[in-house]
Amino acid sequence: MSSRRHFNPWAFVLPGVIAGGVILGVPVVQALWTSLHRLRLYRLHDQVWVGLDNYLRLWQDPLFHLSIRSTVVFTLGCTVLSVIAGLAVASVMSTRGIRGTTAARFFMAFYLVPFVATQVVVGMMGRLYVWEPEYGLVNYVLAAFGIDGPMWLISQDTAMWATIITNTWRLTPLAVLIFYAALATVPEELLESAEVDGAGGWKAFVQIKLPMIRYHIGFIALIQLTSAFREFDTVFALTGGGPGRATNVLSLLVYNEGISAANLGMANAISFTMLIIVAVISLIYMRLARLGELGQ
Amino acid sequence: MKPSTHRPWLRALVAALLLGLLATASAQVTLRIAEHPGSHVAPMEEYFIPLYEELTGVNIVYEVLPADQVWQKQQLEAQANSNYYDIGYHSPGWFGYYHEKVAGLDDLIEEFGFDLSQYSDAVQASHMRNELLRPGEIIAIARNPQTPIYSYRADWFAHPDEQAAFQAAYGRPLAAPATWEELYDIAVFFTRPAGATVAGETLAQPLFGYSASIKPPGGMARAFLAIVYSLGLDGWDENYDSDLSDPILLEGAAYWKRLIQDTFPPQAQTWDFLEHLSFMREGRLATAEMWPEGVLTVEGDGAPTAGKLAYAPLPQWPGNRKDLPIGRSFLGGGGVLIFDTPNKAEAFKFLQWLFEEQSKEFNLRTAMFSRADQFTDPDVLASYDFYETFLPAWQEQTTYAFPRQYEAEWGAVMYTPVGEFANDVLYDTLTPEQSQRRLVDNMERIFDESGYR
Repeated sequence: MSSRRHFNPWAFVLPGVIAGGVILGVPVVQALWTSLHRLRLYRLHDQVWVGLDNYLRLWQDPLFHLSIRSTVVFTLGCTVLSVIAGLAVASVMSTRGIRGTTAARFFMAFYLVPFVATQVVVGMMGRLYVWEPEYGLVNYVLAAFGIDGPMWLISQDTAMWATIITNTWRLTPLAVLIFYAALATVPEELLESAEVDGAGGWKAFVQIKLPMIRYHIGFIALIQLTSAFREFDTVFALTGGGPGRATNVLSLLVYNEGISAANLGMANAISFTMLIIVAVISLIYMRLARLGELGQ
Repeated sequence: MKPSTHRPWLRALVAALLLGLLATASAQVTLRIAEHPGSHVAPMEEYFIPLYEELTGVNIVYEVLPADQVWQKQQLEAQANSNYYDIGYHSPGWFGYYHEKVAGLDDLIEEFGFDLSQYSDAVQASHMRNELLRPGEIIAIARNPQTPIYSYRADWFAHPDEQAAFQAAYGRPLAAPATWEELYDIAVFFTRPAGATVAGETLAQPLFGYSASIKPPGGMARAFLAIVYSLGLDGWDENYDSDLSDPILLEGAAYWKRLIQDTFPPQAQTWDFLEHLSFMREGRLATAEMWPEGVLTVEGDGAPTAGKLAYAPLPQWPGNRKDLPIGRSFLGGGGVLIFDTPNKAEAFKFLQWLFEEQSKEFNLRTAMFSRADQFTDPDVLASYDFYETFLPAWQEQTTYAFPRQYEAEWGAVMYTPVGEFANDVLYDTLTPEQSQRRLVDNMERIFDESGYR
């Protein structure tokens, strides 16, 4: 009787575990296996075991360290900005008088466009219409204020910022959706009590709303972090990793090694290293943010 | 019971029509072509493909891909045995990556009677064969073998004010450069801010002295290889020892950095193959690298610069390792190949029609040369005034062009790494010496792995 009670839940999750194991596990194992070999795109039949050689060469390569640095800046920038922007928009949208109105519903639907847009399209739009130095939207607006805008994607000083902002634009709608739903769960009477006690909008936001949606913030930050960490399409279409190597994040390094340099062994070594990095960061983050307590 | 209004003969007719449609649809050949961007694309899309479809009923899907993605997409489809492309664009440097998936053309040439004698031995060797990987076989048809030359605004060069100012500044007449250093001087001379004048006219926008399209790594590689080969370097010798460790490479890289920083439009760093010619067409560039297949961008109908340009071979690098009298780049451009798909015979028939039957028309509409009859046809030679300086420069330059080695590794040891080298030097990502070491180490390691050394 007791064993039947324990068996049933496992029986329900087993198909998912098996499917997940196959879908996720096989490519991961294959990537690990390939990373331990020398394999060139133009000699796919010639796979030679090299052990950890690809990893050793990778860690000795100064350009890999440069890519890690770019990836960290890009990931943190996108995560922090998208969470802040998401909180700001969701807070405004959930304000009494705005929440639930037709305009609010329309705006929420409209706001999803960047989220569902193809990332390459976002990158191309950014390059051709937003950040283009002569005819782009940003410099056009700046010029209206008498400011001579920089060559955003061509200068090493500004390319990373332009890339972060473009990707943040794409990531923010998810944060808005989750935070908007989360803020709707904050009890109205609690906010009314705070108002009676003299707490203004900002104080109520910081001392009541934020603590009550802290798990949502933690969750979204984790999702954005892992998404930005492995971002490829937007950066590739926007800057191609340049100027120089200013925006050459790890996922572009994988592409350059695997496709341009035809070195599949090394490309898989970078991919697997990325997997380990993001797994470790996620575990540390989940522990710090106590996301593991969710659902308990 | 209500009698049926459908008559048996009507049903039979409908069924026959449907079957006929089905049979027609299943019998219709669809050729899918991967294409490289360039000024030939419009004539292909607007004239040759519709005409062939009309004449034969063959359906043609024409996919124009970004320059650096053509070979990657072809390669991935070929490796996957997807039969996705029937015809691909072929550049000698990329060919080795998927040579096993390409159809040999000798049987088709014999069956359909294609005239190989129109292609010179050099063009056949570099663009139609690969004696290392597919010895003894024709595996492609040359379409636009070419190498870059120097193009300049002849009207500005000839202007008395510009002549006088240049003479005063540099002590020599303003003329097409004989050395790369002279090219730099001219480029600096013409780099001017908005509001300045050129040839007596006030500039509404800044003018730049020289440019190529240098989006890394492919564009940068393509452009910087003109310096590498002008230095007299080959990449490697017959023993697979690299000559890129020669200190002259650092001289070339330092020069290239100076040239880009002082004279190129900043946007050039985001430009893909030939995009800089649009800038020249707008009158914002005084001189430029010219891959011949892009010439109609600046000389074609309606181009504001048409008839205002002149052409010369690339300048010499004094002290180069091979005593070359002029500069050189690799023999690039390419041709078309046929993948080993069930449509290969139909694909060959299309190419034969395009390059033999339509040879003259193809040249007149694209300004692409590959066959002997194109260089001698009076209608072709009379078709553009600019051919007067263009064709001699092209032919002289082609004499010195560097034919790329046949090894499949060319892209992995030269094209991509040389582009990265130039890019890393330009942006100080690594020191020049570090970048050079990285370039040479990569080449030697790959040759060792491949068992060449």
